[in-house]
Amino acid sequence: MATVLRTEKLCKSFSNGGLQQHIIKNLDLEIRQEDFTVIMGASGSGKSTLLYALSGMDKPTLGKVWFGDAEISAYTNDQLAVFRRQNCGFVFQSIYLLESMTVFDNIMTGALVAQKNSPELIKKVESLLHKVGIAEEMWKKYPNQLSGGECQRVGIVRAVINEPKILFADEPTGSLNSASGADVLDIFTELHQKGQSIVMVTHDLKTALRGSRVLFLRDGAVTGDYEMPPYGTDDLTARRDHLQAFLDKMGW
Amino acid sequence: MNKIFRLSLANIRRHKKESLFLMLLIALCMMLLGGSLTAEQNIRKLFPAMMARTQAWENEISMPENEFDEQFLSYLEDDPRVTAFHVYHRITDDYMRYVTPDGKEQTFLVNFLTADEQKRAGLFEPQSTLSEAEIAAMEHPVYFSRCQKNSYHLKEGDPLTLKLGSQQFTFTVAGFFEAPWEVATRLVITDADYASLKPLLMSAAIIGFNTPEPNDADAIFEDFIQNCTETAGREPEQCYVERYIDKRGNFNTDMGFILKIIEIMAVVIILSVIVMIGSRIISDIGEQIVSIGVLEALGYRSMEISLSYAAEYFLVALAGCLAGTFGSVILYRVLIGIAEKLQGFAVSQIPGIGRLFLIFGIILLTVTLLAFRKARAVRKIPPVQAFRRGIENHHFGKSHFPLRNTKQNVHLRLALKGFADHAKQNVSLAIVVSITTIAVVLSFILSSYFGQGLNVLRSIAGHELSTVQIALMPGTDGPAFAEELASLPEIRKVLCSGSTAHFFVDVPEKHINAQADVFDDYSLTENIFPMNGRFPEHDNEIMLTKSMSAQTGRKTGDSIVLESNGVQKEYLITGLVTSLVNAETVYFTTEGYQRICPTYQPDILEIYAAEGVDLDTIHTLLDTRYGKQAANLGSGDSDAGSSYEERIRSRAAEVMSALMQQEGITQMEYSVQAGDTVISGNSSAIRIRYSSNLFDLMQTLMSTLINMISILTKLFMAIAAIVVSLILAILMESEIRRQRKDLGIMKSMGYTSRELMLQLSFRIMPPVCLAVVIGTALSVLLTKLFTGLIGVVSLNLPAILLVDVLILAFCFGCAYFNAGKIKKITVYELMTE
Repeated sequence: MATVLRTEKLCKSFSNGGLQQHIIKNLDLEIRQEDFTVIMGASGSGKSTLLYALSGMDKPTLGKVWFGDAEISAYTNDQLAVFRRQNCGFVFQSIYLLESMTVFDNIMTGALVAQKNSPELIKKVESLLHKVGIAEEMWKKYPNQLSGGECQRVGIVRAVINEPKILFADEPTGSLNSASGADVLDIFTELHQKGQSIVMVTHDLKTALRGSRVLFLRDGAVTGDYEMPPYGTDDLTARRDHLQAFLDKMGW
Repeated sequence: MNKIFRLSLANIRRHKKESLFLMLLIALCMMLLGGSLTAEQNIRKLFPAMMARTQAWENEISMPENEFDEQFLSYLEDDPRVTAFHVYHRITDDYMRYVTPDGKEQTFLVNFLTADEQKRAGLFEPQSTLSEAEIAAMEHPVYFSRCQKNSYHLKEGDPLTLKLGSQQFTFTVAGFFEAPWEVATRLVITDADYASLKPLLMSAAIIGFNTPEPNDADAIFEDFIQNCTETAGREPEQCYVERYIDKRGNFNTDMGFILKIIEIMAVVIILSVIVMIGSRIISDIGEQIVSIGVLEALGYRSMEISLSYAAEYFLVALAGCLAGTFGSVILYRVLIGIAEKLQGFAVSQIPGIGRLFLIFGIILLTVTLLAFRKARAVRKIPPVQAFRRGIENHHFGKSHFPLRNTKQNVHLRLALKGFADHAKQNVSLAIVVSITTIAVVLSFILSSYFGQGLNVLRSIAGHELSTVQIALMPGTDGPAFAEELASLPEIRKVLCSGSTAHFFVDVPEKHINAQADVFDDYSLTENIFPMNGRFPEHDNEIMLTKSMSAQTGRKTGDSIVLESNGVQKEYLITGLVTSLVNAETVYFTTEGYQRICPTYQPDILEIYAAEGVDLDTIHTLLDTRYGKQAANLGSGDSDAGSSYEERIRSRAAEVMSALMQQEGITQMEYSVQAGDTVISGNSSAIRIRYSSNLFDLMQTLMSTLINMISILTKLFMAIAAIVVSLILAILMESEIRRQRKDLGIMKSMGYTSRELMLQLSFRIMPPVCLAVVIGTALSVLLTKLFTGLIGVVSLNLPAILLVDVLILAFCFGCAYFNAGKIKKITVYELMTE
């Protein structure tokens, strides 16, 4: 599979009270197309920092990030914004829907920044909403009138409406109960099965099981890289055991 | 108390920039209100102080010397309403001209007095930078009235050259003295010079008198004239009274313009600040609702939280008022400087501390109480509701501008959506921008009006300011002469009139003596504008000045009885006029004036030069075609004449000129026998008595005022622009802080900072556009308020529309610039909160 994202000697550090904290250290990494890459690691290992550096949400301190042939680490903030609208989708742990907008408008806000309004677009939004189980009577509701799981499903529709080349997810089930979390993960699995490249950060084993590749991060470096067959194509118990064994080996 | 102030300080620290901007706005209010009101207080004292300092007479009756009789004084002595009186003498002339240092001549109204006469008129304490020896060495020293010093830019040792007909008089300025303000310049000259000038000029006896009740002055004058008439067997001519209230009115008019403008601007800013504070507290409470819930959960009472808000604004207002107090002292100094320059009298340099403290207290109290009142909204929010970000914060209502209907630009759509979701904020913004638009547009209208420089005098004079005004010799057929002059290519238009202080009417019921302006057809006049109503067209119609309207209590549509030489007639008031030159004027048609004065015939012609023709050309034209004016007879002939006969004729012309002017002689003949030759002549060929130019004189007297107002209005445009930018900065600052999360989310979706900045800027535009329309309409209406002060202000609508476009662009630019803070919001920082 072709490489969609690549880092070269990626470093990210923060200044904390005058002291430099190095979160990511000289990281060389490749994210492949159509992979469901899961980034795991202990708290403070740099998982989210890596995700945001890869997605152009943040700029690295040193090193380079390549998206295909484009070095996005050299982009200006506005260029990065255009890059994100054209190539990326985001699903957040805190969901981050726009509270002042209806469900439908939240999705349209994401859609219209990248494409022009058209009947096809409206149909697509409606179809995706149906697909994730958001009934029509909820489309005109505001986020504070929905449950967390419903909100996250709306968040996913918003993230995929522009058919991003890569979908980033930061602990997408972190704020949901287990039933809602499972529903959301099912959507991710379905998207992956249809060829969507996904990079997801999680510290939850059940969530990680949905991936096809697990990267383990420790102290800002990838210390383990574990490949799995696509979810649903193997025995789930064995899959869990193997992943658990890998993580145990990583000292998780 | 400590914990309340601790909360307030924490809040101020959190909103450093907004608090600073708010403080600046309050400082601006304090500066404008403090400066203008304290200055006004002292400027209003200026006239009584001047009268006290100069010990001038409060009321003065002017009588031509040949009408005056010492025994008339006994009538004042017997009048119980008169507390003190004295008579002094002066010589004067309406045709004197001042020769400027660059050789130009301008009309110069002058009163000459000797030092002794001046001491009878009031105090005479000359001030000079020159030594006594230097003054003693001067051939013709003159002491100049200090209040006119600035108009003529003179200093000690400067020559003062005056011309009367052919004769030129050169004095040297020995010093200045404080005399009460008057249109004519008061000059104190030596007894010898006075004696030399007396035969050439008009002498007048001035009877100064004081009365405890200023309004009695007219009645005293009427009784006095009646007694004089009985004694002399005829009514003394050309007598008039100048009252204390007239002098005070004329004196205070100039600064009144300036103070009025400043006070209006201060009120405009204070209104903006009040609206801004109200809106900001409400949005602040919404923003901090969770923190409020936490504080309530911790045991803080809602009163304490409200007080902490009030204390926050109290501290901001205190800092603003303190800073503004310094500013107000500076503004006070500037205004006092202007007043001193305009009026020629020193004003107290110390602002009224009491009034300053009062304004300080009122602003502080208003801001604090307003903040407290708005902050009391906290009591309606129990902790649980606050934790849930307040039920009102939740959106349940209709979604405005749904994005599924987006046609073209999503950013514009989102901006409109944002606009529709913030109704309360829009109302506040619209009010604030409307108010500041009023300030800007009004300043612009006034600025462009006064920016015409001295041409503005043409609009506010209330009298015709033609190129040259000529008085005709008795017997000259005015209309025929006017027709003849109008046919000349150098002359655009000639109007027949009978004005300039020669015709008076009385308003018997109010004892008001007014000047009469008379024109056949007012639609042909160029400088008389009714501020309301219309021109008089029939013989029973008149217009009054606004001042006359106020004094008589009559408005347009009312009737009024006027009297002249015992004839009383009733007239209908068709309109009111603002008159800067003479506040007491009645405007008649020719037939209208003939009703009350049947012998009236036009004896003044207003001559308007054709385009490109100047005053000198007109003078030369008149001299060439019609010979010398009576006032200039003999001018330039004395030395030029080579033969004995020419010199005799020249001298005879000079004598005729002097007699015709001083004694009112209308027709003269002379015969001089020199040896066998009889040299004879007469005045029958003279058609023009004298020419004058009122505009000239007004230019000299009013230029400082006009320039000051022009500068001030420009300054106010700048202040209004500062207010708008500060308010928009506060608005954007709080908007970005409030929407930080949403903006971060949108950035994560791929919206660029620039797009978001545009969205935020466009969001404010609908209320701003509406506000600009409302503000402009109101300011155009408000312009009418100024009409009473400064005449009919012409409105240049395309220019006003251009200003509106500039205001819109400025607001958008300010909003866009201040929205630049969005650039600092990083998505990553937001996501990892």
